[in-house]
Amino acid sequence: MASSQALTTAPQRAFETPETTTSRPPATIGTFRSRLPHHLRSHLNSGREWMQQRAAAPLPSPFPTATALDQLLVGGLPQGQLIELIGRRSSGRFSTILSSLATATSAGEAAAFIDLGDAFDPQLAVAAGVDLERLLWARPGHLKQTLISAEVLLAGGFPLVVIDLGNPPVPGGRGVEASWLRLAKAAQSHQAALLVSSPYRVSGTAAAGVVKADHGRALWSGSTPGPRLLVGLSSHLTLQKMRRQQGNRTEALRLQPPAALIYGTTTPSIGNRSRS
Amino acid sequence: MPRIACLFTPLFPLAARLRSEPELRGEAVAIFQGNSNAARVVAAARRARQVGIRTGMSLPQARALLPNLTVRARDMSCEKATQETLLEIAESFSPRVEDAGEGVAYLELDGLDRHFPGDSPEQDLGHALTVTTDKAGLTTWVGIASSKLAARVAAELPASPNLVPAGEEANFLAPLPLRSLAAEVEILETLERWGIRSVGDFARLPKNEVASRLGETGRELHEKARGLDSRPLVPYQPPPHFAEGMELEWPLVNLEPFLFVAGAALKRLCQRLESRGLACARLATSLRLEPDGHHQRTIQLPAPTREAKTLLTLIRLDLEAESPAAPVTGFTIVAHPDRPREAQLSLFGPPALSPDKLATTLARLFALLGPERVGSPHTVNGHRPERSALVEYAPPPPPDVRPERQAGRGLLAIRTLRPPVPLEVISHLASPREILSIISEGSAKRPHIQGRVKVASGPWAMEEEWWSEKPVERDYWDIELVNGGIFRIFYQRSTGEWYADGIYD
Repeated sequence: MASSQALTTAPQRAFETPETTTSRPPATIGTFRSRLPHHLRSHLNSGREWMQQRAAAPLPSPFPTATALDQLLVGGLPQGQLIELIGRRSSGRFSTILSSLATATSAGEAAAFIDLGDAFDPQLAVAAGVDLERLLWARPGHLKQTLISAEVLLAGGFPLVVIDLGNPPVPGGRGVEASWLRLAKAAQSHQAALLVSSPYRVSGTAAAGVVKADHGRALWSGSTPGPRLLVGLSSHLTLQKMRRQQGNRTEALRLQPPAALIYGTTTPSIGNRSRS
Repeated sequence: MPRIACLFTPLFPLAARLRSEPELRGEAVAIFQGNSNAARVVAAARRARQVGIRTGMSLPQARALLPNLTVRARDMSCEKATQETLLEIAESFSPRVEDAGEGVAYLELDGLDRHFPGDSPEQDLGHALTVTTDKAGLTTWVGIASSKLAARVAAELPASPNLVPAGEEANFLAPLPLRSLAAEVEILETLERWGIRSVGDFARLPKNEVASRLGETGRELHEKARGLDSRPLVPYQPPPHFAEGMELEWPLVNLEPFLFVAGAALKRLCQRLESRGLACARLATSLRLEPDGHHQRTIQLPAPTREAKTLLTLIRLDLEAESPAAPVTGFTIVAHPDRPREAQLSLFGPPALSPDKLATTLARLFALLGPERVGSPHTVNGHRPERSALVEYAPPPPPDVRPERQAGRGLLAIRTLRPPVPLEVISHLASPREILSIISEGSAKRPHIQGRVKVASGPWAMEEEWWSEKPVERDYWDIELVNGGIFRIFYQRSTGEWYADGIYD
């Protein structure tokens, strides 16, 4: 009888007594634990102890991307978490995900790219260093297919899954938050890195981290009225949210067009572009 | 004399049906053959036999004895699949197997005793055969002897496995009636006229005299009676594919009930594939329609798989896309096997994708998106930026040692617009000054581009297929808009139209 009373009053006392502010477990939990069989004691934790254990648990090893994302996310995309990369058009968002794919595939890892906007250019990807043989390219027609494809690929054991929702209007809108939560859970259970590139926030609370690509600034050579040449794009990546990390950090992103775009060079990736 | 094991499935038509409908186990079930009042019971379950239902009874007679008797028609496709399963199990023990039909299979046991090192290898082997067939949903009895006839007779006895010691076959067979030899009627009649009543009586006759009076057939029969087998086992040639099917009790018009029974058949099919270390590379479905006709579909899988759930999803999507024109009265699912993909795992390199999982993943994506939207990207010769190709996704094995990750190249990528977005362009001195995407039907789903041009760089001429009737001639411009966005646009010389085909991003 006494033990049942201790059980029923334990939660109330745990929050009322001063012991809750110390690192020791509340006396009620300790009492109850002492009455349990020996092999069961280690399985019983208070909520506070569970939180402490969770905070002390080591972070999963990150999945490097060799981009400015690595600096913001302390080493790369965290495995088992959903990272959302948002940005308007010409913000460097697509270049960043292409670089992530290039880093992964060139290191011998398999990667999957779900391309809702059908924007992937294999020739350009080769120039960026992507090993096309290791890349699975899926082109869904709308957001629902995108989410299901991502879940299938995560279950298939792909260590890196990248979703690009393209530019607005995104077919299917933002989707249901429960779907994104389910996807984040799938990434967690399979310990895969999941990067979602979107023009605006879509995944809600499912995202462990949110990085925003600021509006990019084109870099031109020459001056008007003379000939001009696009020689790069300058932008910034800002960490807006990251679980267990400090947010609002910014890294510069500087991108150069592929060699084929520079005046006078000729490669088949974009075509023989000669000044007319 | 080689030792021979006989696998015998009692009440084979019933066993085959119960394998397809395991929920009927323990019920009073009878299998009948024929139509209406001419229908005869060919096999009955224990609960039906307990009330007096016997093989050969007409269906009305059986129903009179047990009104709530569960009856099923004899299903030849079920029996064929069950027989194949039995032979596959036999083949998993011995390479020398003979198909004796209707739930009977023989296998030669020479050399198998080393796999069963106990005191009684044959007894252990018999138990192993019984357990394996049980796992496949079949109740099978086992008999082991030095001749097929003795093994078969031993298998039909209760308390399986039954062993006939080597050299004791003649004594074992001696008390059996002559009809056990399954000889021709003429020979049996002759022997009865001679006053021969049992196998033992026949075996005691001098073999030369029997041969001179009854010929070659009589000589072989005499050897059988003496427990000798002069002919070796007839090798079983397994079919090149695996099939499972069923005659349905009534015609189905909805997809869900069909998928329920098809799912169970696929599960059995995948178990059979797994037992042979194979996977399904192509799945053919044949639906029998009412009153006649067939609906046949074939699904080519991107990679061999043996996951029943994935195969069922593919069948569902296929039937949703093209439904049969009439109710379904039966079906056969045929799996064309292939070796599953194999991979060698690396200790120090990046982990490889599991071939099984990859095959399943690809099959699901094919079912979801279509084969033309999933694969490995491939470069295409040419100059048009929108060109692309897809090939089968078959990643090479990962390197043995994990290479160091290379620093990003910091490449400015271009988001390709497929198809290009038509534009209205206001030019000044042949240079774009203001652009606006043209609104048309379907353009609501395309990116909207509008604004004054801040910087324009171009034109860059691109020509392709100048030798063809419709050469591609474009003048490309890189433009930055005042309201943001860097675009790649082109002027198509042949039509005088402007398009945007890429966004620097």
